[in-house]
Amino acid sequence: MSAGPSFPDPDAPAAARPPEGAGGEGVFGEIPELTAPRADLIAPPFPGLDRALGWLARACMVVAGVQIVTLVLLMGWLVFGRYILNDTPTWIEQMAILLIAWITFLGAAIGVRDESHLSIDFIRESLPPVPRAVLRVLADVMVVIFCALMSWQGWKLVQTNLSREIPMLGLPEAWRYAALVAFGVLGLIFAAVRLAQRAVAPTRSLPWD
Amino acid sequence: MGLTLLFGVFALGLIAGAPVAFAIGLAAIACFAYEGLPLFVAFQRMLSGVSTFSLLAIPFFIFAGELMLHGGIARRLVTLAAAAVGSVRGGLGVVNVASSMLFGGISGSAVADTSALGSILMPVMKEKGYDADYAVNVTVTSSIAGIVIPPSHNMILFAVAAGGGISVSNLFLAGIGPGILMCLCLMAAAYWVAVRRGYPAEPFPGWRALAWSFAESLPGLMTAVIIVGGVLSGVLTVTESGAFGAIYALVITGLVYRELTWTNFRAAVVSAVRTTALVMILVGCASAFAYMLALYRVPEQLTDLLMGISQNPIVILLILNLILLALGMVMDMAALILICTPIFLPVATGIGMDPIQFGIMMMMNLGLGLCTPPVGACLFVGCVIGGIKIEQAVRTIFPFYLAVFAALMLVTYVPAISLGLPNLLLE
Repeated sequence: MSAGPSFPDPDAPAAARPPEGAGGEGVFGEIPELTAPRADLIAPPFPGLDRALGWLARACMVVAGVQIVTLVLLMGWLVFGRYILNDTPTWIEQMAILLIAWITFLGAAIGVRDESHLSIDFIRESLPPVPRAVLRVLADVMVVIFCALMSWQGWKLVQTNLSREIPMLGLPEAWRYAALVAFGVLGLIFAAVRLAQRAVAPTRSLPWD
Repeated sequence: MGLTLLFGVFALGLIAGAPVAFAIGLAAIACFAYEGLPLFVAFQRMLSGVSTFSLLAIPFFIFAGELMLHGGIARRLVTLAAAAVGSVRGGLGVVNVASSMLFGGISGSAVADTSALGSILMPVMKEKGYDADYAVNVTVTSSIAGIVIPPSHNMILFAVAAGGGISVSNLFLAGIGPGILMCLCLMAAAYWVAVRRGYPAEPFPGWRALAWSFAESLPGLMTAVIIVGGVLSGVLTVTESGAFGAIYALVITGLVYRELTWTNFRAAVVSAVRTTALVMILVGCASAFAYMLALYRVPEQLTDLLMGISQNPIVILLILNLILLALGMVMDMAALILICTPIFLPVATGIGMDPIQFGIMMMMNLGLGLCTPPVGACLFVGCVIGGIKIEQAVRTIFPFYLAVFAALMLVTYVPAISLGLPNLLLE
């Protein structure tokens, strides 16, 4: 392209696409490591369990992905109904709110597994191995506590809302709160296994650190 | 004591590197327990914080942005910008800023902007003899336009965090002026550095090429027109226009540009779910946190504190800006919008600032935070794509920081830049 136009030719094949793994993975998604791989890196312990949980997370992603596409199509249908059919499907609004709760809490559970939640780790990672290990464990413990509380209180909310109905949908309100329980239980499993994997060699680094 | 507990648990979580959302959530839960309030109320607030109809626009904007990122719209916008402004000295630097302005009008995310435009422009810039640090600096700082120029899901976050009562269409309109101003400042900086380093200019491709590239990018640009136009005209709510924009982007990238393969589509869905969940779980946890902030009267106490330092609005605004900049350096944008808005907005309105102007100021300020070390998502992505170390990029970035900061100061102290357009159009 040295003598050609200064800008990429729009018809050129994807020569200018982002390199694999860099960039194209979303907004807060995966920011690849700049530094060389850590010297103290170990492979994740319990590989079988690790793989199984990876599949569980992927299954959650499939559910949430279908939900988000449904959400977009439902809202499109809402606009179509209002302006073209002159008949606003009022149930869509309630359905959309239910869906977004599920997408949020399922996605947040996947985030626990992928370690993709926003966090500030430059302080921790600049410490020597022992205090660093303490803080890493503390961070995982906080996630475990949060998820445990969420499952427990979420379950209470599910039970008290079994007979109340979501307006227009005919579903019990409990479905809403079930998203909290789903997040709590899944997150608890993911975070607890992370902790167990950490316990094998606390001062070494795992691939997601 | 309760307040100490609230910020203590939060700070502990941050230092340990726990997810910010859960640190906020645990801090709120701890205070619910300490104050003897029933715990389930905290979780109910987390759920109801997420279950807001106007927030539904966020997944739609994110989804539309991801589709455009994966579907070939960005490259056409770069071609358009190159044809239009490439022929000045250091042309590709200026082209980079102009592309961000156009793409920012579509995607609404600074990091998407950096990765989409950076991966297209940086290789070309390096090939033409531009230094990698210059390419990274321009790409990263100009991506702030993605947040300031509408549509922007961060503006919706701000409107929600402000407790309703702020019109998203006004925010959208108010972002246009400051966004363009900032890009002009950045173009000036890009030009100045390019001249000092003796970078080449690109040949003007001729009016035909310009017209052709405009025609080609028009369907992509229409996405912005649909989303923003739908909201401003009042025909569609923000949520509906977001969904409409997402469907339109799907049609354009899939049927018109034909670059949306199944793999690309799946990647877009996955990133949309991930980003949506990360932002929305923050919204939920922050709404429980905000409940506690209000209970402990934090905004009132902060206002009293700042008023004790100075009664002068100019000084107070400067302090607010510096606090936001400092926070923006170490924390990500969505979290800061949700935590800081309920605390700082009352201070700003207390000294007579319009909430809309404050919102735009905050977008720009926190956007700058995305480009600063030690925590800056845009800077990280830009350096990865440019293949240089963060230290290298930061050594020469100051002219660009200065340009954004100058624009930020103008937006802070000259209300007309942000409020002029909404006042003019909505009178």
